[in-house]
Amino acid sequence: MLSIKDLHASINGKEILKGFGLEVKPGEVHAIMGPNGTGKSTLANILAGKQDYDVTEGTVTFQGKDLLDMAPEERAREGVFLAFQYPVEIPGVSIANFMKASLNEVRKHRDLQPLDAVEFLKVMKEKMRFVEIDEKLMRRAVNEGFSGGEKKRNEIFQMAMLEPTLSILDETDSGLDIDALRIVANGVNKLKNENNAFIVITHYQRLLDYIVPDFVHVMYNGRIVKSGGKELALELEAKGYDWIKQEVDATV
Amino acid sequence: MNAIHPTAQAFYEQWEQLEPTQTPMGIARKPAMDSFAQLGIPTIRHEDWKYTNVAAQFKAGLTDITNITSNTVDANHLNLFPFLKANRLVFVNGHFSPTLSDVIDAAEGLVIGSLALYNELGHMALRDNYNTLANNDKEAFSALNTAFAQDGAFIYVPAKTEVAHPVIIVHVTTEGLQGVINSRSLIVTGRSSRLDVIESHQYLGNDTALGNQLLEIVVGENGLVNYHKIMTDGNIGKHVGNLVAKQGNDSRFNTYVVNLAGQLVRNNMVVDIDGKNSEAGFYGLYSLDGASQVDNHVTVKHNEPHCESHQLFKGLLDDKSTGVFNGRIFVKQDAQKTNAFQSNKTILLSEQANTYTKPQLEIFADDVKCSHGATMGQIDQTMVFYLRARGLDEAQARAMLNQAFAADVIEKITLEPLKEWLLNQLTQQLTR
Ligand SMILES: Nc1ncnc2c1ncn2[C@@H]1O[C@H](COP(=O)(O)OP(=O)(O)O)[C@@H](O)[C@H]1O
Ligand SMILES: [Mg+2]
Repeated sequence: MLSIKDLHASINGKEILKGFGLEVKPGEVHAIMGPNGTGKSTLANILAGKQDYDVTEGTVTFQGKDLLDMAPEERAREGVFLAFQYPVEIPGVSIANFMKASLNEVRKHRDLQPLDAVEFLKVMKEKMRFVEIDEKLMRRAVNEGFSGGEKKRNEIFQMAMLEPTLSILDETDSGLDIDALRIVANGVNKLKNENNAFIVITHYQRLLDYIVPDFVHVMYNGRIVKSGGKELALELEAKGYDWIKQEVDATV
Repeated sequence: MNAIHPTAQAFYEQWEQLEPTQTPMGIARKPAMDSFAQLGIPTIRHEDWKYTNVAAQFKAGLTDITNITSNTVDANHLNLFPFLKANRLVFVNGHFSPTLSDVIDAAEGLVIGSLALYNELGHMALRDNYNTLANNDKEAFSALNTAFAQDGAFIYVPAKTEVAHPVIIVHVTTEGLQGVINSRSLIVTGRSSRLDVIESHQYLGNDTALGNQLLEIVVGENGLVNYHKIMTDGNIGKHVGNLVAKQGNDSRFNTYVVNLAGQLVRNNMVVDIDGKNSEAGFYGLYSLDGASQVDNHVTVKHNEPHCESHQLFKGLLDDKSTGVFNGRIFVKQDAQKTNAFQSNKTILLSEQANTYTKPQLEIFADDVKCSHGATMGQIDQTMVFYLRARGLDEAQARAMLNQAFAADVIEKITLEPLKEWLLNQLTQQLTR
């Protein structure tokens, strides 16, 4: 589904990704862990189409198409979804209004009829229950004055609405209490099926008690330095990242 | 008398031909003409007219044409706000059109009609209030208006009367006229009354006269007046509007000014809060493109203690358009416990758009809360990206963000159908 090969990218002349590679197949959940500043969000933003980065080398193909060639909205319509690490506040735009426009664009791309107001409201309410969001939040402006937990749940709500093929969660668990974490994880687990895939970027192993990954990758200094099964996450939790850094730095 | 200002000469000669009358309007003409003869048309060297070159419009030697134009027009070319159940007063080139007007509310003593008519009839409230607020000594356009205006709206709301439906005042300027059309209105509301006014300016065609309008509003004690000035329909030509208002004790007065177009528009608003425990609100949106130019000047005078005023003006400026905001807050020494707030926010959608903003705070009381702020900038790219990452294309994302920015002002309007209609007009503008 997704194939990233030897990706190099920089921002303001500073190289952040240094030969990143990853293969994701339908039905898989990949966890990417790594210390702060290692390039995890950079990777996520590049996949979503943020234009601040220069991709200097490498390729990204998504369902056989060149992802890097597409505008951000085309990627979203094709089924790529990024749950942002820091969701932006958008004053004056209600979530309901925003999601209606968004869902109908995605539906149009999939040759589906746009939903009318009544149908949309029905879908929205159902998905809100799914992520246990208060209905009142829907009439408020996107993320404006939301708590950290509300912002993250709003991202998962949007994911549930758009039913993406590939979801990338960028530290959606950071700063969440255990209840909010469980809601986010439940959201992912219920959406998961054999046709879609998830890349879960996290700093903490805790999330992986709830979302069981098929693969765990350790990212350091702009690339994957170690891959394994879910037991790798436990090892990282116990030992921290220093041994990885030492191992990698020793071989350079 | 001193020499007549060159820009006033032609007007003066014309004015001498007017038939003198002993009505309130007639009596006010001479001192006003004398004042205008001294002041002349302000140029950009005049601090208050720095960014709005109205004098250039007068180069061609404009004269007053209020007296020579007809009041006939095809109603199909007008927006009479059919979605609102309302009283309607329509003025064509400064003259009342009885056939297009329609008054549905009736109450003991309530007047909704033509100023010229009630001037002739000698209505008491008109005699007592006409030309008491206009600043003809200093404001050239105010003096010019008083000297020449023939007609406009007259609304008198007696004490304890709530006018059930809004009064829509439509000012129409027909095509192919050169000159100045002066129109004059007066609104007097009594104690514990309520009135909603919607004033719409409609220009039929590109090549239209300059409209010079003066509106005086007396807001009675414990009363509420909501005044909406709507300049959204098609072409909005050259316009100078002076609103002068006075508020009594415990009163509320809100002004909403929406410009979605304007060749050259100047909206002056001067409100004297002359009563304790009163509130004044000023909300303005100017969403412009092409070479449009809209200049809003607000002066709120806090003359009494325990009053509150809010000014919120937002500009969305595309192409080569220009937005000007000048907000003055004046707090008298006795006006303790005043709360006065002012905000002007502008988004520039093009590199050629211009915005000028100037707050002026003159505060002579010590126990007051006053704040003002101005921001200007481009549309936020991180927001655009967030929306695109959810499938909206760039144009959709921008329209949605612009709409949200501008709608904030329209949302303040309490007349629900008008608010919905304006939001819809705004959407149409931003998505075309
Ligand atoms: N706009 C920028 N200009 C320069 N450096 C940046 C910019 N944005 C991020 N970086 C740098 O890129 C590196 C990777 O950041 P990021 O991808 O956010 O890491 P992570 O998500 O793994 O914590 C960091 O060293 C950060 O300082
Ligand atoms: Mg990050």
